[in-house]
This record gives sequence, structure tokens and C-alpha cells, in this order.
Amino acid sequence: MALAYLLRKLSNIDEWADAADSDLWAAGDCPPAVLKQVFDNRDGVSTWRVTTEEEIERVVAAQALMRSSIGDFAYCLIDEEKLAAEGFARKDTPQRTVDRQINDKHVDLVNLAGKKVIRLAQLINSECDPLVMSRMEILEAAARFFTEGQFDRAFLFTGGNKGRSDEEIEKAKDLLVNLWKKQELNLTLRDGR
Amino acid sequence: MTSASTAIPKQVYRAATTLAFAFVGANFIPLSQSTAPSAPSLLEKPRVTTASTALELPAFQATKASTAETQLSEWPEDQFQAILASAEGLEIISTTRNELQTEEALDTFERRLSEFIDRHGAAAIHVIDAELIRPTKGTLQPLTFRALRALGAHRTPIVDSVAEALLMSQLSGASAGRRSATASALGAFPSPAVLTALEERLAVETNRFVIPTLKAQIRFFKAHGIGISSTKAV
Repeated sequence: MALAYLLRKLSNIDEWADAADSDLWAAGDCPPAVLKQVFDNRDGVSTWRVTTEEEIERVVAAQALMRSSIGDFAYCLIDEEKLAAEGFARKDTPQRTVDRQINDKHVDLVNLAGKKVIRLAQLINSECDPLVMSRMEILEAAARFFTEGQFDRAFLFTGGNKGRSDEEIEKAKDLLVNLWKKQELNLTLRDGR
Repeated sequence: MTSASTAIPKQVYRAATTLAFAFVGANFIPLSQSTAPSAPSLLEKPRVTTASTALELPAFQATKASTAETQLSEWPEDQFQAILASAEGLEIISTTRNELQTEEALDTFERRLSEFIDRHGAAAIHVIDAELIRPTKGTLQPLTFRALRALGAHRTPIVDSVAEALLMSQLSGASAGRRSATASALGAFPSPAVLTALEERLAVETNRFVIPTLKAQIRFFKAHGIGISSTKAV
């Protein structure tokens, strides 16, 4: 397995900004506002393995389209080799997204005890450069990926056993209708479909 | 807007007040002593355009049966709309404030605030400013960040100008979280003036989480030629 960077979303970068100067970091601890962002899922900490700039754009844009509205997307890139050296267990856990070529790039950090979660927060706070893709950049990238056929429009609205839930489909409809109304996202394929 | 033809008779005012407070419901918890601003603000006198208001008032003739009635009948539509906006805004804020603030709940809160601004325009921004942006209580901070982000969307030119002015006033605030949210929201208003403000902030910003947000907006502005023509002209 090739080692690369693991892209971790910073759900609420405003809270990371507020917590950056907290005294808790120096004490080897972590402010609760960001701790709950790092450990937001009992199954593991969700990340995406990326090796190129284009993969980063595709992961970010695909993630943004899974939500009910699009805003700036803040994230950091964590050196997977460093995580391995510090004993973080990783597990490939493919996900279903609008971009089938990135589905198998999803990685969970698993078996995290409390100290490991705090250590991960410390790594993000002090050793990983936070990055932001602006809302407008995401919309441009998404339009490009839809046009070039890398993003599958049908995925957003496919239900059933192997598809999305009714709630997810409703969210996707709301999102795309709102973007279409404001002429913010072009969903046309290159061949005009 | 404010004129004799739009003055509201007492009966309509009472009905509207009842309606306004019905919005608030049993969960209402006042967030401040008054919804009126307690300190000078950019938004002291909210103006609501007809296009951005959700309520069309019937054109009743004002009665002049008594001095009190006359005074009530002279309530301008602006203030009437402000009351409705205030009640609706307080309901949104108090509901979210009292529930577990998960990321999903905060996303929903931001979307509701954005739709609230869509409906009530500058009157909604006035409520958000008074209840979430000017207060500096720590417990409100996550809601404040989302309120700032909700301002960052194109609506009407008048509403955009009010939102942009409020955001520009927050860009150099003491809270890094507020600066981060503000920088992100200003990305919705590409102009040479906003670009200059973002670049000036970037030149002095030290918070490692605010810097990438500033850079992202500046990068997009420059990629689309914002500020380039004015630079050439100089």
C-alpha cells in the first residue's frame, strides 16, 4: 500500500481558529470544541488518501456535494507515514460518492483511545498546514468534473438497497435546485446532455 | 416605505403583534433586554425593501378615533416588518441555542438564518447583528460564527451592501473564529475594496487557521480579475 497524505476535513475551522491559542495545547491536552470535531464518529476518524492535487480537488468537491449546502471546505493533509510511525491504526473503508474513482480512497483511523484522539488533534493543530478551498473554487471544480463526466449525476438521485437514502436524495435535490436557481453550478455534460 | 399610505391601523398592528409573538412560541428565551440595539451600530435604522418582505399588508385607511389610535396607526411599515423579523429571528436563535449543537444542527441553523435573511432582508441582518454579532458571550460563539457565514450570499444589492458593511466591520475583530467566518463570508462579495481589506488583514494575521481562509478568497478574486484593472489604472 502506497503511503501518502490523508486528507481530513476540519468541520468547523472557525472553532479551530478560536482554539489555536488555548493553554490546553501546551498542557498536552485539547480544547473540547475541537476534540469533538476530531472524534465525530465512533467507527473511526474519516480521512481520504490523496497523492495529487487533482485528487484533493475531487475529494473536496465530492464531499461538498454530499451536503445540503456548499460553503468553504477546510481541511488538512496528514502525513500517513508519520501516523504509521506513531502507531495510528488505519483501515481502508470504501465509501459511495458522486466520483466512483475516489470511492476506494477512503480510510478510517480506527481503534482510537482517548490519548490517541488528543494526539491527533495536536498533530492537526501544530504540525499540519490547514488549507481551504473556497466555495466558489468548489463550484468551479464540481462544474468541471460534471462536464468531464468524472462526477456521476445519477448517483445523487439513485435510491434502493445499493443507493442513497430518501433523506440524502432530498438533500441532493435541494442543493442542486438552489445552485441551479442562482446559476452557480453547470451540470451539463460535454456532449450537451 | 414610511408614508401615510402604508400606516397601519391599530387592529392590524395588534393582529400582527399577536402573530409575531406566536412565532416565538413556548421556547422563547430573551437573549437580551431588548431586541433594539444597545450600542451604536451600522444598522440602527433597518430598511426593508418591498421585494424582500414576506408579508404584504392590506391597504387599510387609518382611523383617527383617538390620539392613541392615531399613534398606533402611524407605525411605519419598516417598523412593522422589523417586529416580525425580530420575532422570527429570536425563535430561530433560541431554538438552536437550547439544543445540542452538533455540526448538523449548526448547518441547519446557518441555512435557516440564510433563508431568514432572504425573507426579511436588512431587517433580518439587524436582528442577527443585535442578537449574535454584537454580543460577545462565549456560549454564543458557535452560533455567531454561523451567523457571520450566513451573511455571505448574494441577495439584493441593498441587502448585499448592508451585509458586506457588517462583515467588513468584523474582519479585524479580536476573535480569531469571527475573523475566519468573516473572511469566508466576504468571499461572496468580490470587489477591489473587499480584496484590499482581505489583503490588509492577511498582512497582519497570525492565526494559522484564519490565514488559509483569507488566502482562499484572495486567490479566487485574483483568478477572476478582481482588483487587477484598478491596479493597472494606478
